[in-house]
Amino acid sequence: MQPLLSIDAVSKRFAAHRALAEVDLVVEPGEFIALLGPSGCGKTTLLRCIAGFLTPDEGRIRIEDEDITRAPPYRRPLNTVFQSYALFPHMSVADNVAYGPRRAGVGRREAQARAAEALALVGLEEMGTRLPRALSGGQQQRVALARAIVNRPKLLLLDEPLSALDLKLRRRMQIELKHIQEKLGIAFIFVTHDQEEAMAMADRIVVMNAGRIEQTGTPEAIYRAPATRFVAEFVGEPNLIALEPAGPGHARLAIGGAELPAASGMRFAMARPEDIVLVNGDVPDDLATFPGVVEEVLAIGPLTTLFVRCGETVLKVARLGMSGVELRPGSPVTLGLRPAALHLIAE
Amino acid sequence: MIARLLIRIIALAAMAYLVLPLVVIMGASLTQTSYLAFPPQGLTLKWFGVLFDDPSYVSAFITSTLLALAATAVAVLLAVPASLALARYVFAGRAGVSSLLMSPLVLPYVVLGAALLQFGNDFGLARSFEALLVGHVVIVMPFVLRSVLPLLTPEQRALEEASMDLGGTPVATFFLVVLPQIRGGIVSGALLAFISSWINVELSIFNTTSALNTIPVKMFNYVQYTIDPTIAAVSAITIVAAALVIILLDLLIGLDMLSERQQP
Repeated sequence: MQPLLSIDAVSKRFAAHRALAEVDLVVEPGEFIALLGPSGCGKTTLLRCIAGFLTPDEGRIRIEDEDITRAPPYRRPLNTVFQSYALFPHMSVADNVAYGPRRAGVGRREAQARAAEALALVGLEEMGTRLPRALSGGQQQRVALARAIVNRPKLLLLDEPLSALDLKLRRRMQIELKHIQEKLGIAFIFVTHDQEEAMAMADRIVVMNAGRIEQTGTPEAIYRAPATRFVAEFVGEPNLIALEPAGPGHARLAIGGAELPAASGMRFAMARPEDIVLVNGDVPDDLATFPGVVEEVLAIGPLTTLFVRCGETVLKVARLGMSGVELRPGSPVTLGLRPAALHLIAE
Repeated sequence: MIARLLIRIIALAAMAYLVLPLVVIMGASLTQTSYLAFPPQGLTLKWFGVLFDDPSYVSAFITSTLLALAATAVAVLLAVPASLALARYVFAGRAGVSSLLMSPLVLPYVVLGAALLQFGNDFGLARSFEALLVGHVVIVMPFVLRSVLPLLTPEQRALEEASMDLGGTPVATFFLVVLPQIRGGIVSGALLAFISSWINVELSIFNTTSALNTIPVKMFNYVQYTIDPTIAAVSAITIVAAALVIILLDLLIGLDMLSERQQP
């Protein structure tokens, strides 16, 4: 199948600052992509290049066969949900949503019918006659979504659309957005700095840092097999255990001393907090064990995190529920992990 | 309680201070005496008759009105695109252009008037309606700029982007999104522009003749030699006209939109 969006070696500079450095990305029809990264990583710049508010210095952007690198925003077959929603304050909610169809040459009556349909999709069919300022933040967010999908674009760009909502509403909207996306079959490119949001919603996550793409992959691949130390640390909590060379094709863990097969150049083994277990009694054969001392216990309800000092390093150990809260700082424990299950990182 | 009463008294005193001179001048225009008297002695409209019988007053009224209308219209047509350019684009000399356009606010109008006369001489435009118009456009443009520029915020910019994202061409975006958002600023700026053109003496006085005169210059010349109730009558007409314009604006667009920024 032909890709929906192809970005080839796109670069963008702002004076001395390099905002995008030879970014490549391919988006398939109907895909949900999350652009994830810290502020200033270039994710919003990339989105604005796709939307047409910025022109790349180099590289090409295509939608299907059409080169849109230099096309103005109003000639691109895509729409945007803005972080600030950007609803027209002087127009009713229905007129806001009908704005897109009207500009596309649809008659007034038909445009209002389409607006009503889009508003129904986001559960706001009763609100058409109100002004945007009479709505709550969550409702404004839905209007912005309805306005952006009413023309049925092939691609929808969303610039941190949920960042202004409180946590509970945010969680609900994540699920709802995902359902709407599946129902309409529109490809979404969703910019966020919230890794949980990206994990919860996206088919593929694009992790960006300093104007470059660090890694592109499914949420599982990003979490289990981060390509770089940056990705490992930005998505979730990693334990990075240094590797020491131990003969060709092998390396030794700096903690516990277990040996494992490793290509040369690998510097860290990554274990997620849930990969490390507390050992009591019998030890399975494939488990490498080592002693440690509890430094801190952080229980947040569904999860308890133990901070355990093993020599130079403090390892994070996650346990489900409140198990482990009986441990006190200073308690000696034995930790275990499976060397074969560790993911190795070069830098 | 006492504090609120005190505030009311102070507010009323301030209003009286502003309004009473207008009452005095309007009252004096009705006096039967041939000198200014307040309270008026007897009531008559004869000074208004004298005014309308004097063709130089009538033509000054017409000149002032046309001049203020034309200067305001030209200033709006220049200042709106100028403020869009200043707010939206980064270009070489932007700060310089901005200061240049605003500079008439801090330059003495007398200097501008004298300069205009000298400059107009070289082009054969001195002491003409066109020269007056050029001068007035220069001095009233900052009022429109100052009331439109603050409305072109980043939030407003986001609305324009939303419009273009939804397929709005630049022209459609301007008329459907930008103009409705800055309308209040344009109207209040135009009102200030019209008034400051209407009352200008310093710039106009260098560029008027006995045949081409504006109302404030005519009054200024008149009171140097004579003081009689026709002056009060001219002032009264101006005051009533201004009040009518304000009432009309309130009925048409609502004055509250001039006094405070609309909530986004």
